[in-house]
Amino acid sequence: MSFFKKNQANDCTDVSQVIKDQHDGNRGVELIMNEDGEMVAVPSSQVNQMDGIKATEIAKKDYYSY
Amino acid sequence: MTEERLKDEFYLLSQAFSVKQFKLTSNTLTIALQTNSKKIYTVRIDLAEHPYAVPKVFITSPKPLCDRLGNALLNASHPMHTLTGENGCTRICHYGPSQWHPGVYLYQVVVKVRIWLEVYENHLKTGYPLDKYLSTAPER
Repeated sequence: MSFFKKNQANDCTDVSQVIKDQHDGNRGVELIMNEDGEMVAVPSSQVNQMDGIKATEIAKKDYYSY
Repeated sequence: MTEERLKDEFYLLSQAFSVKQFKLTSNTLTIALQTNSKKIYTVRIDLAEHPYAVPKVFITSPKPLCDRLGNALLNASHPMHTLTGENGCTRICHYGPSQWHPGVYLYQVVVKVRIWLEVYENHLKTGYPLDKYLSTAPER
């Protein structure tokens, strides 16, 4: 995926894939909502160096159906 | 909602979002969310029973949201993670009743809505339903 080739990715497809990967057990990439409100996928090794809401834990909460 | 809880909610929301983005009262949270593609959505969260029950979350603009084929998202749909809409507004799923507890704060709900919107835009782009990416709690 493209975010493995760059430090951050923000395309909606990249973001969607990160959420799916998190549910599937891939912890290599995390989601951050930065101060501009942008949702970005970053390598886990860089998460602690970034400001913003760590959205991964919230994203991993299951959505319910109906 | 108590005054103390309202203050806590405001504080936490203001840490995650600009105060210019939202308006919070004891009954309603209205917030404008911009996705990564720079599209802006307006979201209303009904707080009548907050924090003791799962709040209803509506997209009030665009009204209604439409799927990739142009159909209004006003029906309950498992693949699209929506509930039956009200007043022409799309209602989206977020936390389930068994996951909900009074310790869940509104900023967490809004972050889930923000994620829902990204996956919704991915649906418009690719055609994949939202449940391909957003896992579903086992309850109904």
